[in-house]
Parts: sequence; C-alpha cells; structure tokens
Amino acid sequence: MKKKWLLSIVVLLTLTSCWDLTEIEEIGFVIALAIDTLEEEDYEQYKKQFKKEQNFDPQQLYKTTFQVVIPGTVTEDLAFEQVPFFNISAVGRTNFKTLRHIATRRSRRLNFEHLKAIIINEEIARTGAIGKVIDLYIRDHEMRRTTLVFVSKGNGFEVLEDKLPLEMMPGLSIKMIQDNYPASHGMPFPKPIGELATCVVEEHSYIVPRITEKRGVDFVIAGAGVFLGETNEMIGWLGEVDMEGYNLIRGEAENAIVEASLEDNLFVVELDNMDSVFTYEQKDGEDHFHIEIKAEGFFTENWLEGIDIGEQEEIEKVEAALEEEIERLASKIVAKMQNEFHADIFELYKTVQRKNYARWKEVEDEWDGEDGYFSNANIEISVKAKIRHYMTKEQLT
Amino acid sequence: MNPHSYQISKLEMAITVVSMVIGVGILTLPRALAASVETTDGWMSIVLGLVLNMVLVLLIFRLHRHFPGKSFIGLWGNQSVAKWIGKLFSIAFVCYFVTLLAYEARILTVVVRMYLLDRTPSEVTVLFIFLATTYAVTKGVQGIVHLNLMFFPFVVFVITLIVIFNLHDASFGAIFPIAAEGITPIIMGVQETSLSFLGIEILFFFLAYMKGKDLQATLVNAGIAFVAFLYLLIVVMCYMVIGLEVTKIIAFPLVALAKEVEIIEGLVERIEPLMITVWIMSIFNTMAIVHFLATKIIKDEFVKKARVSTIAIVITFFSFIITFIPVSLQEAFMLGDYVSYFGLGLTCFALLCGYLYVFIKKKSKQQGNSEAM
Repeated sequence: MKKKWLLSIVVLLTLTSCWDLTEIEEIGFVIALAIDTLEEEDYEQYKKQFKKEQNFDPQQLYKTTFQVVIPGTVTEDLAFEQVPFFNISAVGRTNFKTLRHIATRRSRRLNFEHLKAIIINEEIARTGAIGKVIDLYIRDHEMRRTTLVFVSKGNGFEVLEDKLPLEMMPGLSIKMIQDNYPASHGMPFPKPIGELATCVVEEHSYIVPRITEKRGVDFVIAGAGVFLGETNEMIGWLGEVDMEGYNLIRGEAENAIVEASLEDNLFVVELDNMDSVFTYEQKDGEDHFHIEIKAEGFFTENWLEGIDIGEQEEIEKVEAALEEEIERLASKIVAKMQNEFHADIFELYKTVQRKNYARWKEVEDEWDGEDGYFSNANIEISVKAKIRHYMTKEQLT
Repeated sequence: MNPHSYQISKLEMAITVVSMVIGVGILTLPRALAASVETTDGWMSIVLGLVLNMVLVLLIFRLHRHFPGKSFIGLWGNQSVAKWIGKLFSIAFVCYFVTLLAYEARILTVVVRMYLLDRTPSEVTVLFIFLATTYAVTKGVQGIVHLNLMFFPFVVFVITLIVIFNLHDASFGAIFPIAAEGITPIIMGVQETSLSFLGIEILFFFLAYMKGKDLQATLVNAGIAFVAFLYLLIVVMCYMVIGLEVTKIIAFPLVALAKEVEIIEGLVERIEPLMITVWIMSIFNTMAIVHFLATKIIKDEFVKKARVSTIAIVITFFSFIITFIPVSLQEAFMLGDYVSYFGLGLTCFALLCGYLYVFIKKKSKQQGNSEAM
C-alpha cells in the first residue's frame, strides 16, 4: 500500500505538465521590424524623460517598429474585415530593452521565430553601427539566419505601414518582392542576416539592398547601400543602373534584361544564362584584373530599323551592340567604385587570395579605402554575348 | 546471470564506438578548429587526428589479443603488485568517467535551455537525463549496445539532412587557398581533432565482451573513419556556408548550420529543434556508456556485493554535483578540455603500462622456461 502511495505521488509530481507550454494562438509573431532614429523633437522629449528617470543622458536612442500578426484572421479566407496585423513602436537605448518594453503595452509576448525582414534606417547605417544593431537578431536563439536585411532611404517604419494588394501584410510583401530578384537586375541579391553577420565580421566591403517608401502608397526594393568593410559604415548608395552593372559583373543577372541600342534604335535582350570569370595577375608590382562576362539570351523586343535579324551577319552586329552596352554598364560601376567609393564590393580580393596568397597578405590591410590597392588596380572588362534565338520572326517595323 | 553470455559482434562494437565518439564535440568542433587553425585547412587536421586515433585503436586491440575475454582492469590479475596497479587504474578511470558524464550533462542542459526549453530549470533536465541513463545502466551491456544500434541511423540521417540542404548555400571557393599558411596551423589543429575522437577508451572495457577471434580493429577503425567523414563534412560546410570568421565566434556552429536550413520554400522552416532532439539521443548514448562503465568498474573492483542500481544512483549523485560546478559556458568548456586531456593521457598511459606488463610477463615466462630446462 505504501508503495502505491509513493508511486502515485511520484507520478503526480512528474506529470505537472510542461514549463515551456505556450499556445500558438497566444503568441505575437513578429513578421517584420524597422529600426529608426528619432526625429529631433521626439528625441529631445525622450531624452528629457530619460534624464528625469535615470539622472544621466542616454548614449543613444532608437525607435523600433514591430509588425505583429493577429492570429485567427490569417487562417480565415480573404474575407477578413480587419487588417491581419498591427504595428507598434517603442523607443529605447538597446534592442532587447525596447522589445521587452512592448510587454508592458500589449498582451502578447513577441516571438521572432517567423521574422521575415529587418529594415535599418540609413542614418543608423551611416554611423557604422549596423553590426551592433543586428546583434540581438542573430544572437538570440529564437532568431533565424535567413531573415532578410534592408537599408531604408527615409523612415523605415513608413514602409511597414503600406499594405500592398494581394498579400496580407507588408512584411510578407517585402519578402516576396525580394524573391523577384532574378527578374530585375536593378534589385540586388537578398541579404540574409546570417550572411550580413559574416560580412560585418570579415571586414570586407559589401552591399545591402535598399528599400524606399514612395509617398505613402507603396515601396520599392531596388538599389543598395554600400558599406565599407573596415568601419562597417554606409558610405553611399548604388542606384538601379549601378546595380545592373554590379549584377552583370558578379554573374548574378541570370534572368535580367538588357536594353541596348544600335544606330540610335533600341532593342531588348533577355538574358537566359550568364557567368563571369575573374582572373588576376601581378605585373610590375601592380594588380591586374580581367573580368570576363559571358552572357547569352533571347532577342525579345525590336525597335530597330532596316535590320533583318534572321541574317547571321546582322545578328552579329546586334550582338556587338549588346556587348558594348554590357561593357558600358560594367565599366561604369567599376569606375564608380574605384574613384568614388574605394570599396571592393565585387569580392575581387578573393581572386588575389586564391591566386597569390603572399601578395594578399601584403596588401590585405590597405585593400579598400582611398588610394588603396583596389582603387589603383587595373581592371579590364571583356564581354562575350550571344543571341540564341529571336522568338518569332515577324517584322512589324 | 553470466555476464559473458552476451557477446558483442564486430559491427555492434564499431557502432558502439561511433555512438560514443559522437557527443558534445560534434557541435563545437568547427569553432575549436577555426579558432586554433585560423585558416580553412581544419579538415586536414581532422584527417591527421583520425590517423592518430586509428593507431591507438589498433594498439588497444593488439593489447587485448593477449587477454581475450578480459577488460583492461581484469587483465592485471590477482598478483600483488599488478593487482594494485589495476586498482589505481580503476580509480583513475572512474574519476574520468564520472567527470565526463557530468560534462556531457552540463553541455546538454546548456543546449536544451538555449534552443529548446528556455524556462525549464537546468536541474530538471539533468535529473531526467540521469534518470534515463541510470535506467539504461541497469539493463546491462546488451541493452546499451542495442540502444546504440537503434539511435545510430537517426543521428546519421539528420546530419546528412543538414549537410544536403545547406549545399545550395555553400560557396565552394571558401576552402581555398589550401594550406596557404603552411603546415604549422594544421598541426596546431590536430590538438583539437585528436581529442574529438575521444571515446575509443571504452574499448578497454567493451573488448571483454568480444570473442577472441573477433578481436580485429578493422571495423572499429572504419567506424571512426566514418565519424571523421561526418566531422569533415560539417566543418567544411560551416566554412562554406557561414564563413571562417563567423564560425570562430559561434558557440555551437552545427546548430547555426541547422538554422540556415529551409526545406522546400519554407515548408519546414526550422530544423534545429529536430536536430537537437536527435543530438540528445546521441548524447544519451554516450552518457549511458560512460555511466555503465563507471558502475561496472566500481562493482567489479570495489563493492562486489552492492546492487548495480544502487551504485548507478550514487554515481549520479556525484556527477550531478560536478555538473553544476562550472558557473559559465566558458568554464564548462574549460572543464571539457581538462577532461579530454586527462582522457587522452590516461588512454596512452594505460596502453604503455599494458604493453610493459605484457613484455615483463613474457620475459619472466621465458626465464621460467629456461630455468626449467
């Protein structure tokens, strides 16, 4: 009998269910967040309040906006009456303190397991604090290494306010728009937070996709912020045309289109397959790079006059014009990086590292930066382009 | 029950060793290697470490061929001096196993609290894993070996899954240039990798359960070569996916690698809870073996009359205390380093003494023979 009592006590004690039980319906999933600096007025106000409470000035204040899913509305059909998300902002010195602040204002605890996008304000990026700002979002166990990171031109929280048609919430739209990158080569490759962390630690220059809010209607993901590896400071923007050149050099513009002209008339080629090869050589103490871009694609839109694209000779002319255009785009961005930003975002350094490790050790510390080895390197670009077919051959012009 | 009624086959032995070797090390090895080698040549250190350990395994097998059916403690016999040497070794091994048990439990709780159950107290996690291993210990060697056989495929499956689904993110250029800094860093890495195969010392005891004619090292060596292959895949994958510099600073790179995985457009978005669950299975295997051996040595050598379960519970008590001695993760890793160095030292020392003993015995036998003539 005693044994039975003992057994039942043990069983009761061990069956007291789970410490970590959380109902899925009661979690506030954060789908996207934006980290901004404060406006002048707000900053002064928060600073005053902080000083009153703590008796010293805050070193820094950031405003973080979280986009939280309202569960239940998501599962029903598209006929919901309310929007399936809400945005909430909080101000604080550090990220973790800020997000815990939400717990005093909303019933659901925030959960980041499905975080899709992090938007960082340009002003924060320019201070070189990007590594520190994303630190929490990669350090904590809830975070995933695939969350996408963007730099916003203008206020980041405004992006989260624009609900686009078709998708349920801006956070999802951002991810799905970024997924379109193969179709537009003005859009950079996605930058997951895990990869960004690698870039920050490795101290090589890199780019982060740009997101721009457009007059309270929608937002655009195109162009990118250029970050200098040594300091992790954002030093400028790449526009959409720059991005086209960048993607061509990196061999990443696989499904992009090129708009070129021949005898002042336009034509369009859709790239189907492309690649780029970097070769490196050290001659007379100088660094020589050769970038060979190979591209092939389809002739898709014709504004040309007096050219019969069915003829081999004529098509070679078109191909030459295409090569010229690709070379122009590529040279433009290379010149911009060498003369204006002095940052090796093409990862040319990897070629040096692989080909001539001794040389790399020599130049490693002065690769980027004004008058650095990257800026003084000779970079040659050659292009080989082929037009594989021209769709139907109807001559409209 | 006659303890020798059950005989371990060659394949079972190999898988037991594999289960023992795969433990805490697999989570932390990429970081340890990246930090000590500082180039992406860590994988060569793994190969060198493997070769070293294969030699050790071979030596252990050859030693035991002189004493079929006996464990390392048993082979010292009942003669005066040899008996005391045997007793000393058994104390050393018990200390080693109890501390190792505690270390594995500690890292287990850290990982579980970090990634799975962040509000469950560590003490409870440790208590439950010890409860499970104690139960396994009471089932004897056959139970433990069969558990190893059962869990082994899961562990391999999940690791393969992680590697395969990371392939499309991998930049294969990352492991070049090969041996850019020369051979020295690779040798430095061997320090880490030779420790990561620790677990082969269980052969000293498990070989007692094998038939004399089965005492061949080939399959066990194939087993640890397989472990080396897994290590190699994981380390190279870490360098190619998350990069050398980041691997250096992540506490558990393998978990980070699992976090990168997103199967079929987000159908399975998070694989790391699954991975950790399966990893707990392999930690359980390691702990069960260690716990069993500590219990067995104490029962055979010191308190022959006590029940197995009583001894196992007493060991749990001591291990539980040692588990919570390190205050931070850093200290826990330090404890791990000490335990590993002690284990490797003990293994080599035991081998040395064993061969000396064989040598002396042979000598005296010859002398005895010549005197008789």
